[in-house]
Amino acid sequence: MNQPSEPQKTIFFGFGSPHGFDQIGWQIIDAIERLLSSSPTRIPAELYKLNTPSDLLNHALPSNPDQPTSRKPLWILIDACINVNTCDNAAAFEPSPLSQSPWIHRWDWSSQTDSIQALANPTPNGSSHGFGLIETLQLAETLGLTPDSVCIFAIECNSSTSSCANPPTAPAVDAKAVSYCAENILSQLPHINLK
Amino acid sequence: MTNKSTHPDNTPDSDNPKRAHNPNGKDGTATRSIRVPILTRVEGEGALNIEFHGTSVHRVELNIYEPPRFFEALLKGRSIHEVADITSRICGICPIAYQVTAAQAIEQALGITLPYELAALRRLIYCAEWIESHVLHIHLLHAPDFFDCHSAVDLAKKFPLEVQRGLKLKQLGNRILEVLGGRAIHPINIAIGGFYRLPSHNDLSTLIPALEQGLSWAVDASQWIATLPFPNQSFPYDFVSLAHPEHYPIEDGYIATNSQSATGNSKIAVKDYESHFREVQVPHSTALQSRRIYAHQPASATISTPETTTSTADSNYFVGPLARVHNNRQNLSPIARKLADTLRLDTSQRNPYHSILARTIEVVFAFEEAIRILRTIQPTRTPKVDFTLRAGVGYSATEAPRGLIFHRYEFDDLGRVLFAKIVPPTSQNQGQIEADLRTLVSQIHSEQDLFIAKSCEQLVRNYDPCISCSTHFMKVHIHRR
Repeated sequence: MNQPSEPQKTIFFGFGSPHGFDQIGWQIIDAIERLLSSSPTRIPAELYKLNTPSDLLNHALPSNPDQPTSRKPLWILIDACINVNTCDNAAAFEPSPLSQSPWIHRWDWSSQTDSIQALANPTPNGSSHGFGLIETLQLAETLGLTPDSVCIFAIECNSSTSSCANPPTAPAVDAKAVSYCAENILSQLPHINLK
Repeated sequence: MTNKSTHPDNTPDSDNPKRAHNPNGKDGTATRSIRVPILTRVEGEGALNIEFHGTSVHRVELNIYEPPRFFEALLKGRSIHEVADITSRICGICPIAYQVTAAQAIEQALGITLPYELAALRRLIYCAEWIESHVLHIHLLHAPDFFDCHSAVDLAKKFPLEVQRGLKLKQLGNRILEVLGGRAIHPINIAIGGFYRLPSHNDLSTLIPALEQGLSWAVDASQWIATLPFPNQSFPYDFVSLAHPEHYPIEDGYIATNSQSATGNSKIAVKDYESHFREVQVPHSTALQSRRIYAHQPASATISTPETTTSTADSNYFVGPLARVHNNRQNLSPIARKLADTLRLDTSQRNPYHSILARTIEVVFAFEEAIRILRTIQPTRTPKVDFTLRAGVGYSATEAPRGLIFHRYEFDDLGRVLFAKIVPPTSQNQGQIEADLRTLVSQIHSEQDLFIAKSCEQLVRNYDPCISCSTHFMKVHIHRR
């Protein structure tokens, strides 16, 4: 007799810092945690606030290599982004058709897709300073550390400006925007039902 | 000098057939210009310019173009309690080196002596930074050179288990930093007189099993690194590092050199650092370069640049893991010492490509030392020593992962910083890197420009330069005339 299958765990990673609009990744993690904890349904999830993309490797490494892993989790990566539509690399930031808002962008990770590659550092120098999210995912994938599903959500932080040179660094992120982003991201994950 | 366009794939311009051969009409000498826009896999950004006149090397310059960061000026007027955290922002890879050196300099001025447990925990957190920084450089930045890999991702395709092992080692360094420093990136727990808060003895003790596993992985990693095809090269280095009669130097000791100073002494007290080493400004770099002084001259004396004959009074020197192992081999921890012998790390050969092996030996040392400290420290509830504020001048030198670092501060009786001097390792190595490159390119000048550029990049990476730290660095430009 087969054992009932274990529900897939979702791991949310918010990237950022305590400053300006860069904190929106962390604030969305807090908001998602509140939504998940208030749900009557137990949703297997972990949430982490990370400083840099390479920190993701610490979580990708198996904590106990000798212990067989059950079902691989789903990774949800959330970070602030700058809209470069007004800059040179417009193709990289085509809004996802799944997005309910033009300022929440989604990519489903595959290192082979052009849209993902366009997100890579255009002038990589390979230093730890230039080791961005895409480079980290490429390394993790090469080492077989990425789960089957990785979704990247990028929250556009300068949609109200036209100047790439001066993206806003708001002293605080609007709480309503944070709640909206959290709800919007969860609504795009069909396996999570808050009701 | 001819500057050519930048290729986004870092390919030297000379590999473009249209630009590879460009006769100079006036004197009939062939002119070649090569520009590789970014020297990869070093921390920070800078350029390397090489100019040939015929077959002779006319100019080799490390052009550090990151803007000056003015940390020393930023510190003026700030409280001594802010210095450690402000200076830690100079580098995201080695913040502990800045924090500990700054704290120790101020403690020296205030006459503060840390009790054994607090001093041991300072050494422990420094071990964590050596592990994290060394392992990162070895596996993600430098090892790809030895296998003709473009990047860590390429290396991971050839050596997945080895790269994954490196990531696990880095993870362990980060774990110590989190427990003792509050967080892995820019830890925030170093205070004047000790720490702001101490982890529980149990939190520290529980690190030991993971570190014992890490020590085993570090030994395996060093045995893998020892199999690398090291180029055969030797330079007349003056190895400069801290040394200590009783233990391998990290945060204390005197300054040891391989050559005698003007006073006939190869041992230099830290308080005398500025009498033996000085920083000079060079036109092609925003970063100051350090020279060793062999005769007493005013600090504003001759500016040495690659274009001018270096004063016989000044000389380049080498700081970093290779210098540390050379000057302190007898004080390596037991397993690290045995590995250095069995893996045939012969620092007397002065082969800069052995730096990666010295670095991995130091990773083994750092694990052994961390375990030793964790097994010997007693529980303590007092995170820091009380002190009375007074005006003073203090200095300190420690061994950052990349080499010797020196700080000096002067502050008033309210604890406000009046003067700050910070000399990071990469500033001290820049002159030696240029000297190494001059020798190398003179040996391989007849090779293709792409080969020369790649060889130069690999040579530079021996030093694990942190350009952002030194900005107080990398594109490669080769000019042939």
